[in-house]
Amino acid sequence: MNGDIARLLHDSAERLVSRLAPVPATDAAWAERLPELDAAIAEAGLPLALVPEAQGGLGLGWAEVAVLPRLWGRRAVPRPIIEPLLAARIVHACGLDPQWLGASVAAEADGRIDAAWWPGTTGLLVVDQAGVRGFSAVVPNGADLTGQPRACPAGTAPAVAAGMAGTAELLAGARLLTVAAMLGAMEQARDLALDYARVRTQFGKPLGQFQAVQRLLTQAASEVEAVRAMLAAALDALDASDCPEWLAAGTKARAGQAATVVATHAHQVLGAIGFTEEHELHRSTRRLWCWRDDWGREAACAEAVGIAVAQAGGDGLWPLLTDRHRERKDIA
Amino acid sequence: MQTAPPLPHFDEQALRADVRQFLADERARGTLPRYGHAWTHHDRAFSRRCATHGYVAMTWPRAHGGYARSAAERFVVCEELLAAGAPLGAHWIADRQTGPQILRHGREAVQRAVLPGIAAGEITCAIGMSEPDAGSDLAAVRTRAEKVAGGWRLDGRKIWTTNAQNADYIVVLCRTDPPEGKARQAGLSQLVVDMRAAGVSVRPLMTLPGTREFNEVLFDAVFVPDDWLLGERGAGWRLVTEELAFERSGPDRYLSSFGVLRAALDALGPAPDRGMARAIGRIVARLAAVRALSVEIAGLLDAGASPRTEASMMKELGTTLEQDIVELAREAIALRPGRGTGAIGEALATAILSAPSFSLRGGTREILQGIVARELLR
Repeated sequence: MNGDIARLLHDSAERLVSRLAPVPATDAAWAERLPELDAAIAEAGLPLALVPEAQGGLGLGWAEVAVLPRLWGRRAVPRPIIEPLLAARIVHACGLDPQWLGASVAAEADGRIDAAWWPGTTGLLVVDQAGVRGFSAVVPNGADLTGQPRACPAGTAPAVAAGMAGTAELLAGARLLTVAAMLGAMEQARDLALDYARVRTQFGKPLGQFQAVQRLLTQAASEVEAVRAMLAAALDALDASDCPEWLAAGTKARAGQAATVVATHAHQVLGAIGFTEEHELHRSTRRLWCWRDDWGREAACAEAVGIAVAQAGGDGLWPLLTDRHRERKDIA
Repeated sequence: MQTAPPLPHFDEQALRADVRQFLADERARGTLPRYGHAWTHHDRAFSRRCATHGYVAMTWPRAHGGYARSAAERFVVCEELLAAGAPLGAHWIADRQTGPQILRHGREAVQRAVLPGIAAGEITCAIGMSEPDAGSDLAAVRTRAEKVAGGWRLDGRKIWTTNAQNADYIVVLCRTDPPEGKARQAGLSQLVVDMRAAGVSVRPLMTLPGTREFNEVLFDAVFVPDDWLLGERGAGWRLVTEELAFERSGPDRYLSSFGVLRAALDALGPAPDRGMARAIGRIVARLAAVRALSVEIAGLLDAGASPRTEASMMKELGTTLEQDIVELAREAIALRPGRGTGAIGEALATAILSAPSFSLRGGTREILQGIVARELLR
C-alpha cells in the first residue's frame, strides 16, 4: 500500500487549504481566493490521485484518496474535489482529449442529470454501466442548498468512452468519496456543537452539563463513529474489488441518516446563533443536507439495499453481510 | 479516535463455514429453531458441544483449557452463533466476561477451579452486580464482605442475576472497606463465590417473555476463601469498569433481534413494496455500520487498547437498532404476534416482549450517554 504517499497527499492538501483559508473561513472570504485555490490544487496534482502511476498519476486506492474529500468536508472548501478526481481517472483510463480534465462528472438518476458546476468547467462526463457520455459544454442552470451552481442539461450526450470498463467501481467510489466528504462535515458540525456546549453558559452552568443536551451531543458523536467505521470497511472492500453495490449504497444511505441527526442536533445545541449566516455552522450543515442526495439519493440508496436484502431473503441476509468474494474480480 | 490495527490474518471464510456446518448439524438435531433462541437460553449439552468444537475459551492460554486464538477469530465464531440464535446461556457470560476476568485478576486456586470447566462448557457463571438499591448507581452496593480468618464472610443480596439458577459460580461486587469520604468507588472488591457454598440461596424472577431468566441471589454468612478475591482488596470498581468495556461492544449488542429480522424477510418475500424496501435498506445499513464499529473495537481490544467511549457508543447504537428491528418486523409481518401464529408470529411475539431488556442490560442507554458525554466534553 501507499500509506506514506497517502499521508503526504493529505498533508500537502491540508497545508494548501490552511494557507488559503482564513479561519473561520466564510464563503465570501473564500470567493476571492478561489482562482488561487484552483491553481494550487492543479499544481499539487491532487486530481491525479486516482490515476494509475503508469499513466502519470499517484496510483492511490480509494481508501487513501478519501482523505481529500474528508478534508474538503471538514474545512467546507467551496470547490468540488470528487468530480475532478473522477474526471482525471476517466480521461487517463480512456485516453480522452485533455479538455475533459476540467469536466464535471455525474450519473443519471431518476431520469435526470444533475451535476456540479464551477467556473471554468469544460464539459460534463455522464457515467453509467454502459460507459461514459460527454456534454462538451454545459451552463449552470440551478443551484444547490449551499448556493453552489448546478448544471442539469437536457437531452442525451454522445458517447465518449462507450464500454469503459470499471464504471461500476467508479460509481461506487463516487458514493464512498461523497460519504468521506460527509464524514468531514459531520466531524466539523459535531466539534462546533461540542465547543459551544463547553463555553456557552445558561442557568449558571455550561450547556454540556445538562443531560438533555448531553443526549444530543452523544447521539451526534455516535452517528459520526458509525459512519467512520462503515466507510473504512467499504473503502477497503472497494480497494479489494469486493464492494457489492448494496454496500456502497448502504454506506451512502447510512451517512445520509447520520447527516440528518448530526445537522439537526448541532443546530439544536447552537440555538439561534447557529441559524445565522454569520455563524460558520451552516457551512457544514448545508453541505450535509446536499450531500445526502448527491451521488445517490438517500432514499434510492436505501431502496437498493432493501431490494438486495429482500432477494437474499431470511437465509441469505447473514451471508450477504459477512461473506467476502475476493476472487470475484468483476472490475477490470 | 484510535485507529484499529490490522486484524491478525486467518481464513475468515473457512472459519465461518466451519461454524455454519456445526449450526446446520444442530438444526438437524432439533436444538435450533428456525428463528433461533435468545442467546441467554440455557442448554448445557449445546454448550458442551460448542466446547468440543473449540468455540468456548478460544482466546485463552492452552494451560487453562483455551485455544490461544485471536480475538478476531473469537469474534467471527460468536457472530455466527449469535446470528443463528444459538442457545449460549450455559457458557456465554463465563466465556465473555467471568473467565477473562479470572484470567486477568484471579489467583491460581480460583483459576484452577473454574477456568478448565468453563472451557469444557461445563461451568456456568453469573454476574453479581445489581442490587435492589444499586442499579445504574452501582457504587451504592450494600452487599458486604467482612474479613474473617482465612477469608471473608459475605452478607447481602443481588438481583436481576441472569441464569443464577444454573450457575456454578458468581462474581460478587461487594463492599470490603468503608468509602473514603465521598469516593464511594473506593472500598469495593470482587469475590468469586461458589454457588454451592452454605448460605447461598436463589429465588426466581420471571421476565416478560415468560422465561425464568432473572433471579435474586441471597448471601447469608457465606464463607469465601482469601484467594477467591479478584485482584487486590479495594480494586473492585476498577475491575468492574474494565469488564464492562468487554461486555459492551460485542456482537451480542446488535444481533439480539436478528432472528426476527430474518422472519420479517421470510414473511415479505423477494419483492417488497418500495416503502418497505427502503425501510429494510435503512435498517440493514445501520446493522452493517454498527457491525463495522464492533469489528473495529474488537481489533483495538485485541491490541491491548481500552476503547471505552467507542464501546459505549457502539452499545447504544447497537441496542437501539435491535429495538428498531422489532418495530420494522411488526410492520413487515401481517400477523397478530402471539401463540398459535406459527414460527414467524411467535418469533415476533418473543422479540416484542424481549426488546425492553436490550437497552437495559450491561448499562442503560442513559448511563452510557453520560459516560460518552463526559469523555466528549473533557
